[in-house]
Amino acid sequence: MLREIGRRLRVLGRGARFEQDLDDEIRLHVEHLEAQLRAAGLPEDTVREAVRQRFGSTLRAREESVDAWGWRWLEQLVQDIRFGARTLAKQPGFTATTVVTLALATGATTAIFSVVNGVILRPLPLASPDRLVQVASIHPRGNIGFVLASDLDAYRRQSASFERFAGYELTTRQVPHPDGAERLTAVISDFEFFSLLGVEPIAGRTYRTGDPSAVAVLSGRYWTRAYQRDPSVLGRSITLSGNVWDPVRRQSILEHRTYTILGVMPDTFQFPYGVGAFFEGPMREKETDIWIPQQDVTPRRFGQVTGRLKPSVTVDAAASELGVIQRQQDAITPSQSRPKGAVLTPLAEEVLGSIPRTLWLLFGAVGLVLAAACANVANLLLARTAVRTREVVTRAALGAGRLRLVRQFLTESVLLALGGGLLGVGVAWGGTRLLLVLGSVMIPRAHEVTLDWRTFAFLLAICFVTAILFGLAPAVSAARADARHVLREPGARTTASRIHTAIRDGLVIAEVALAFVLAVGAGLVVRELGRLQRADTGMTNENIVTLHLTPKVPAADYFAIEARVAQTPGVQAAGFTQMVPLQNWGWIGDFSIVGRPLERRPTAELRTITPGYFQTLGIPIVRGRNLTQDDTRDDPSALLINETLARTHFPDEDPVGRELDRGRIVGVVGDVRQTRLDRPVQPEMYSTVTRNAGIAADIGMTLMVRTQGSPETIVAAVRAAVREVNPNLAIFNVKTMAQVRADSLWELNLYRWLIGLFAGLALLIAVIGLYGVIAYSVSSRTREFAVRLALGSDALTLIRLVVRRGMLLAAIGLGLGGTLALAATPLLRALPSPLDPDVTTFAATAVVLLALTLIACTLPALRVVRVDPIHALRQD
Amino acid sequence: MARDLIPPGTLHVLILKTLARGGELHGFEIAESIARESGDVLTVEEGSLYPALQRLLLKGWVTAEWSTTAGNRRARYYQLTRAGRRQLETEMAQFHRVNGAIARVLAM
Repeated sequence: MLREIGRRLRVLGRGARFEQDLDDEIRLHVEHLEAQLRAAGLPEDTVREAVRQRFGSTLRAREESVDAWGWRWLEQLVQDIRFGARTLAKQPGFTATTVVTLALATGATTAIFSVVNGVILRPLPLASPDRLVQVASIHPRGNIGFVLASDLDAYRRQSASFERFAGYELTTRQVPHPDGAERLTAVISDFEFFSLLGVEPIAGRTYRTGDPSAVAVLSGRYWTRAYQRDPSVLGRSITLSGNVWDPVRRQSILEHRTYTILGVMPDTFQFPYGVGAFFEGPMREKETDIWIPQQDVTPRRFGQVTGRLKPSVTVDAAASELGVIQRQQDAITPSQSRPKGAVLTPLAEEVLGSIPRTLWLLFGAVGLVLAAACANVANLLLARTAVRTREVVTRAALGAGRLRLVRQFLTESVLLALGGGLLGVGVAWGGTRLLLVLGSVMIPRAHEVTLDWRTFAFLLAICFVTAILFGLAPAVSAARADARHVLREPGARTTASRIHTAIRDGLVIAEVALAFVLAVGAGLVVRELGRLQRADTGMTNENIVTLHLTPKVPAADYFAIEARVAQTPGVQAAGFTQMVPLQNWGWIGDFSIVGRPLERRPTAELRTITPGYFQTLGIPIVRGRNLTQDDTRDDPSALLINETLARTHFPDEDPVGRELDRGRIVGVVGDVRQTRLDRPVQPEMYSTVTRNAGIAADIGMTLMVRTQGSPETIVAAVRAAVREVNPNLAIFNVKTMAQVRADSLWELNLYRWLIGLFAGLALLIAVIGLYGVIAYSVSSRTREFAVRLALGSDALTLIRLVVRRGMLLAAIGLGLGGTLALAATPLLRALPSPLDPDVTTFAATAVVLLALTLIACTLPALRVVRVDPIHALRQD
Repeated sequence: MARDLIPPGTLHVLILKTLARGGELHGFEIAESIARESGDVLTVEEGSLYPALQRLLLKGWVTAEWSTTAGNRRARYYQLTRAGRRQLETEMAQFHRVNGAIARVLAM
């Protein structure tokens, strides 16, 4: 059998020479025959006649000899492809339209599939990831979170469901750098961490129980960034500084430690996932740079605990076991604040959260778009088939098999689909990049997403499925073309064809409606973005540069830096804040007003600043005075409130001088958009950095500098000033305030891209759909038009007739879409960033759609003019 | 020249047998040999001979080589392979068995 295949392949490899040999062989045979007949003494005429009669036999000899090797199909395929390519090349407009539509649709589908594949389908790159679970405790107030170290100890000793556990915590560390210091994202874990995950380092080794605590493991990317992948880094030491909570002094202190580098993890290794979710604002980080074991003092609790279940232990069984162990702990050391239960979440679920639902939804949406694109291409092909009926009939009459005809049409469809797929690779690549860039904050595992063989297999499968979807109907309709039928009853309309027309019309109406809804949505998002970009924030955003500094250092350092930077030439003002505005983060606290009993304690945004902050951002002090460096945390500490807080709680009196339990109000400042551009102003309170030394110390402070000219030029001088005051401070996230403001709209930007792309695709598809329907109706009514023209009809009247049909379909679609969009209005108003539908957007979208419809209908309608009555009538 | 056509399915055995007897032959020689040996009863047309030869090549029962004829023409010469010889023996045995049986039935 194998040898037979080998022989077949050898024949295929000989190609044209194989047939040449056959011809030679058969010619020789005939010549011998001729010679034999002549030798028998037959007259020349008879000989020639006898040889001529052999023609059929020699032809059969050649054909069947070729067939014997079973390569006929390939030969026909090559023929079909050549013929198909020629046919397609003859209609560049049609081919380009179809290929581009398919490229966009398959490319978009593949882009989303590649993200679905990388994020959902591929298992986490850890050893047996299905047995890893995230362990959390239920605390008395109902919140789910950290695990007590004593509980973790008990789990380790008593649990029969788990192989091992690891507790860890996410934090930041600073490392010396030529420019001052660099901030790293660090994970502090116990020694079980790496053996739990079961991932091998690419260099050196990881730490395990029994190792000293002053060791560190680097991430592949940090190794590349800081050491250019130098293997000699193993065994070298690295000094890290960071804020550590001092339980005795009850405050955050700065600590320096030196670690020996043990190993380096692969570039793709990131654990825990979703590091960005732990930090907010300018701290949003995607990657961990370094892992260090927990220090000599065991912490009281762990923010994160991951466990590995023993094989075939269920999550529920393990959870109830941990619950039992916890209750025993409660019996040993009873306390009101002890956790009241354990929650286990499979790691994959914990990592992905609600993302799979969103991605599948997106995948479904883009799949619908692809289906609509297929339907359109089918329509276009059907229109073409109608035009090609004569060709088909002629070929069938000349003996082309019905199957062969179907195959010819399918080959053309596959060629179109593959052409679309080839371009689609580019679309998929670009689309995947765009999705990851725009959604990197939201999409976990984004760093693992690559275009792998599965993606390409998917793309190829999509191409063939679409080719069959849109190619089958025209192919079958071509095969059904019956010569007699076509000749006798040209353009006859059967019930079946009337149903087909209804389906096609309905499809186009739906496409127009969908395009309208999406285009209105895109228009609303664009309008909202424009509105927010122009919105008044209550502060100056021009010529301001922001620089984030960690770790937290004593207040005196901030005052010193502020003073130094303010004196730098070119700088107008400088000041610190702990939380930069417009970063969607904040710190909310409650308060009470002395001498005014309230049922519920009101809340306010708390901000920690240095006095220069208000001048830098141009926030006016409307009453009282600014804070000064002398306003310390000593009782009573000075506070500033914003106008909203003053208006809400002191409507008829001067708040300056009033006492709150958080301090004494010394002044009132102007309102600013603190958290987000689209959120109304909240009540706010400002105090100086001398207070609240412990609050969220990891976050550090942001220096805001207002400059005379372009803000970027001042950065080097600011860096120098910071280094002189405290070389341990790492400066990062250097951005202008304009950038901060633009970046704060990333979510709306993402929506704009997504809905904009979808709307664009839907518009394109609707227009092509309209074009297809009109082209089909024109080509199937050619005879009717010819008769009308022959009878003296005006071409313009006919064109109007055709265009009117298209416009009618579009109008119905618009009506439907408009109704849908109006119905969705309450939904849009309820969005996290509400959209307010308006007449202008609706009207503008409708005008654009109708204009496109007019073009899409006029193009095929113009063909009516080109109908030559004599030719069209004679065709039949 | 009203000669009988070869019953379907037997042409390849005839070719194999002819090659077994004659050694290396080209297509025309095979056709001639079959006609001659059958006493001019059986005739082989190109339309069936050459496809049959290709099928035998595919099966690996014969091999072919280009060589020159006595008249100095390029011709493809066919030769039986070992597998072809085995196939011939099997089919001959089967043929004799079936034919014997048919003959016995017809003789009754």
